[in-house]
Amino acid sequence: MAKKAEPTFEEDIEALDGIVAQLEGGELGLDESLKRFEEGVALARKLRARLDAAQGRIEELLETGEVRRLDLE
Amino acid sequence: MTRRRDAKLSSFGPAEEPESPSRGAEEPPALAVSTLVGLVDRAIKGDDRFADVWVRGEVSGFRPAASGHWYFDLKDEGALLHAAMFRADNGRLKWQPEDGAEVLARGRVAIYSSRSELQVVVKDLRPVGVGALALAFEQLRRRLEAEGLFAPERKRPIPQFPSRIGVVTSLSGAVLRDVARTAARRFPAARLLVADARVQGEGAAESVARGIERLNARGHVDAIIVARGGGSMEDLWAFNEERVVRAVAASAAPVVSAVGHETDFTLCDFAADLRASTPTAAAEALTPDAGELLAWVGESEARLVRALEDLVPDLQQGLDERVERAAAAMRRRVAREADLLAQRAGRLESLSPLAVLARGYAVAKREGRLVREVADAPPGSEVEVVLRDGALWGKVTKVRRHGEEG
Repeated sequence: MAKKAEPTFEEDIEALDGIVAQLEGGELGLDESLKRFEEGVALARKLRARLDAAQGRIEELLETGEVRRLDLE
Repeated sequence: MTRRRDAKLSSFGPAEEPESPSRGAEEPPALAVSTLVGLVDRAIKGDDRFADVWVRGEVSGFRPAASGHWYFDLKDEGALLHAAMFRADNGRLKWQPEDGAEVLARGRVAIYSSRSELQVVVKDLRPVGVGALALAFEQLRRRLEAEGLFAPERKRPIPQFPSRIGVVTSLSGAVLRDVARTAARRFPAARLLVADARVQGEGAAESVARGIERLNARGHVDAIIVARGGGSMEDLWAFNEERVVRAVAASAAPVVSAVGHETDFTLCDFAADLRASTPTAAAEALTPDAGELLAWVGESEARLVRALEDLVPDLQQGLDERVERAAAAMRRRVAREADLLAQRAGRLESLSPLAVLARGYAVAKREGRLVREVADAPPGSEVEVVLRDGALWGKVTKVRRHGEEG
């Protein structure tokens, strides 16, 4: 089986949203609830880290297909 | 001028023409048809006034040929003139004439000799009253719209959180700085991938189109911004060219177009999935506000904790209910057992000989054993008769079985 790609930002946000809704729905047992809670907290931490990331990168895609770093300042 | 031309014509006298040997002397000297036509053609060609002339008229019978050449007539109330515009020349025009259009045509006058038709070979053609660019814009817009390139159902949704944003613009312009600054401020996680493009002048349309194609083929971008700063209609023209419009429509990644100022509309805008009024607005449309998102993440965490806290009393209540149910079941079972016991006790009682005696029966015994049949107590034997409240003793004086004579 192919290795699963790293989830996108959008997918992480949707996953967190889903976990909150599931937990608030109160349909899960204690074990499952604790598991989902931990997943949710981990996702929130990951999202926060990505949002706090350093200055965005700018690169140029050359005609040859090569990518080089751009410094605009 | 006129005199010079007359002089020229007179130099080709009938005397120069070969005389037909079969004709009589009284027959006037004549020119061959092709000769005469050739003379007129040469006369026209030799006249500078016809070599490069502007003529104004209405287009009629416009017919583009498979070869790429255009044929049409130019007319006014008084006359009609054939016109031809060859592919090499009409290819430079951004617009295409239509019947009824008032035009200014520049070219040279010539005779199309096989039919002796006077015609103008057009090198340049301009619409009258409306600008050529405006007309070209409108014509291309109509054609591509009829093809469905601008249809609303073609528009793709703009991704909310693109991690890689392609930008097709000039590396040297202020546009790229605006886009980069806005993206970095709102959503630092986003990466920009720029395809440097000529945004005006010769080759600009090809350069922009190839930038879009390059980002799609090799950039792994989630969305593309096609942007250029403000300018005249001529400056922005590349973004009205079919090459660019088709590249935008064919782009796999959704395209946000931000060309010129808010009041400028280009065909690139029409084909794009979203039109932004400025490059900054395009960057804003493609980047979520990180501050808002952080607040949302914090809120989600708080909700997770709250949901878990709510879960504990829920579970407690569930447990209590289960204990209560078990206790009730146990109580019911005990009650049922008690019932059964009472029933059995009742039956036991009904079987007790004492109960039978209470109803008026008697039990006979001889020497402590029950007397069940007459043979158990022959005459003369002593029997004990047990009654409800005591016993009495007596001797058997007579015995008779059922059915025997007494």
